[in-house]
Amino acid sequence: MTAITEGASGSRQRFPALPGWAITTAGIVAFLLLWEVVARTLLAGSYIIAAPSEIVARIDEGAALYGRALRTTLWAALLGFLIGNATAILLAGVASLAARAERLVQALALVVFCLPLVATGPILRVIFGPGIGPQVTLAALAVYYTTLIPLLVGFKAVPSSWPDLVASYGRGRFQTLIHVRARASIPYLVAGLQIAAPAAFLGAMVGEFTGAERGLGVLTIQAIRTLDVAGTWAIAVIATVTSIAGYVAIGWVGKRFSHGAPPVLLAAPPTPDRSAPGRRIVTGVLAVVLTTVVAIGLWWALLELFDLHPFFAKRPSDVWNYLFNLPASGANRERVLSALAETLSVTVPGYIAGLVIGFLAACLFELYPAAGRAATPIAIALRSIPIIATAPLIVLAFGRGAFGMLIIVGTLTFFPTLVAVAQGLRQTPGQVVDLFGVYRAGGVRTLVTARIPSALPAFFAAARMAVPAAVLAATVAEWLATGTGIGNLMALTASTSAYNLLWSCVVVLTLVSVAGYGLVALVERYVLHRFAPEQLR
Amino acid sequence: MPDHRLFDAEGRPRPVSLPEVRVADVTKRFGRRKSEVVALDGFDLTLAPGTMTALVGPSGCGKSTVLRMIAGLDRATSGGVTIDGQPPGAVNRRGEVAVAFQDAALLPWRTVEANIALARQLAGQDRADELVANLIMMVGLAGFERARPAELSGGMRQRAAIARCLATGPRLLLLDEPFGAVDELTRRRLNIELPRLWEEHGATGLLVTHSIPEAVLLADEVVVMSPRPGRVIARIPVPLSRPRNAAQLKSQTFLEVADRVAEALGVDRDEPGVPLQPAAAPMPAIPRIKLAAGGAG
Repeated sequence: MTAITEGASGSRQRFPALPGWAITTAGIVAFLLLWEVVARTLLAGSYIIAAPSEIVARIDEGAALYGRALRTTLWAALLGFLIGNATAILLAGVASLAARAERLVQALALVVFCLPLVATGPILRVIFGPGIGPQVTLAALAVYYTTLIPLLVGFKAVPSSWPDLVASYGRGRFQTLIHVRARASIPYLVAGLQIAAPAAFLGAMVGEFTGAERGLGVLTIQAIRTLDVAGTWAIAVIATVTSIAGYVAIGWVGKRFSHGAPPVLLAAPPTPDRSAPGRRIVTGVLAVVLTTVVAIGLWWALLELFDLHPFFAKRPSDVWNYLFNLPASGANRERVLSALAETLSVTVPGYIAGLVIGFLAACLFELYPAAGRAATPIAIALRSIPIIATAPLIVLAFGRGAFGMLIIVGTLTFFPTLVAVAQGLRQTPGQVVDLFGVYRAGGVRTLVTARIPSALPAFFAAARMAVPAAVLAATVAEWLATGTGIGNLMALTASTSAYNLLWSCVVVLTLVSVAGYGLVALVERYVLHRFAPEQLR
Repeated sequence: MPDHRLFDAEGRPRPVSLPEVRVADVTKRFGRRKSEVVALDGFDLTLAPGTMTALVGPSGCGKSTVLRMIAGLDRATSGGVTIDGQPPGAVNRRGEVAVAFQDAALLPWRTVEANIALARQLAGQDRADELVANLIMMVGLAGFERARPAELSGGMRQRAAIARCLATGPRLLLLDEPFGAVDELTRRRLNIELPRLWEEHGATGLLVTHSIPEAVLLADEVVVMSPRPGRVIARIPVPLSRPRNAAQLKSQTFLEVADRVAEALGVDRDEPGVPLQPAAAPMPAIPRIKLAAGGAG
């Protein structure tokens, strides 16, 4: 391998005539053709895959029906998008003005982000009654975190001399926010809003899964129940195209307002803490306690504030009693935990498989850039699909067993990991790559020694964010299709009005997600400390 | 804009009211316990009204910290800073203090004009479009009023930053290595332009720099600091006449003063091992990547 051309720009010289869009288009056409052929030959009549031509025919046939449903879902998604993002911007502003509040805002935001959306659906349904209330709320819940975190990062991503300039005229945080941080964070805001577009659509659809009258989510459920393969695929395609359109449109608008491409962001870096280890543990424990207290307080206060009936709006004490204080508590705990174990037994392997395969795929694309250029835009597009909307398809394709779930969770983890790691690998400073080129180090050597350490933070950011997403994917699949695990348990409780059990499931799942997130953050600290200490500030 | 020019039309000194800055017995520590760094220990400095003082010293001696404390950007661990007897914060709010930063600190989304106007906005003053236009002319940026910082060269950006400093009519000018990030040719050019601007504007001044010629050409007194913890080890007056001009760079006085400063700093010696700065930490294999962008920005 001739290192220099191979490492830096070899492939560009080999295919001088093909521009990037041509390679991408070729990739998409090849993908569609393969799909068509497989659907019409290998898997024909197996109730798994509909061929692209069948899907187009179905959309054409049901255009009026799908159009009405799409309008309903889109409206709910749009409202949720606006409310969720407005909340995120407000919260980020508060965190920027009151430095002490920032960690608390972040922690609470994470807890809310970890709420299992599916299970929140039925509770919201009882609160709001019929209509689009639950869809809007879920859409808002689905978007605000992915906007809040990039904004918080963006507010800080300014040279220190800019806030100093404001301070040198004796002005404080507010003026700094107005004159410096707000404008500087726009590319970050755009990145967040881009991810929020598909997320809002997903939230609205999940809301419709749990008892709405109209919308694409309702049609999805009907299509699954009647084993309408082409119909299920048609809805997934509509959801996907709409989401990608939102993603692209926001990116386009964002480019007009901020020069240069918006940065790809997945999560805030862990806040560096230079204090002594013992002290760090104490403040860490204090932070957890404080967050828990505030979260429970908010939970209780919200229910009281809206005067919600205790029959369905369970208070923290109800959940505590249900799990620990009643004669039946032992059995209750056993029921929740065994269902949880069943869910985790597929979620964890699926999550890890998604991470590993995503990481390896990104490395392969780095070694074979031509393949990467063909596949990366597709991966970015697929990342913006509301994958949950395709969960029914995967269940159709791979059956109701553990394997289907594994595929769902794995896919959901795979795409963000791939995109993040691919971006991270390209982040390696040019001079370092040049240095390896000077010594004629091979592509693999450069990858392992130089590029992978640079990509680790991006990988872990993706890994952290994928935890709640993986739990959500697993529970949605269980709720809709497989009839196993804690997702199914929640579906049962929702239909039998066993609200104590439902709330307990929500609490337990939230705790599991938060704990998983924290665990990944710990592993991240350890690995970065060990293999890439320069990445820790 | 208040008129506190140092010289009248004939070049005679004018009596004006400019602030005296006192830094008294200041100690500054960074970090906690084991990793504690003492940047300054019992540091004293007085800036006489209407004079420019240059602060030179090895890297990390705390000279920028001194400037930041006078600017109200950092607080002393003990001891105090006063501007005409008042703490920095109150004075800053009236737009009487201006800081020039090493990286110009121009906001990239604002035009040159708007960046200069920002200072007046922050100081709570009116827009004064005419004044801004005059300043742009004075620093030689006429025709670039609507340009954004990205379209300017490094030297032009510093000129814009200096115009912004002067926009509020400050009585105290704090220059933190203002030309540290521009190339040597531009630096020499700006070194000749800056004294003229400062003399015309009139202000008490502090210049933090690494450059001995810059310090001597701009200042009335050069204060030399020791390595960390920073103390004053020499105060060298600069008996060059004002207004300063390029010809003075070749004068005997200039060369003598520059020699004395170099002597006090302990540079320009043949024997090795003069510890100018603490041994640098070994370079990591891979330069640090800003995590702020989520590792993928």
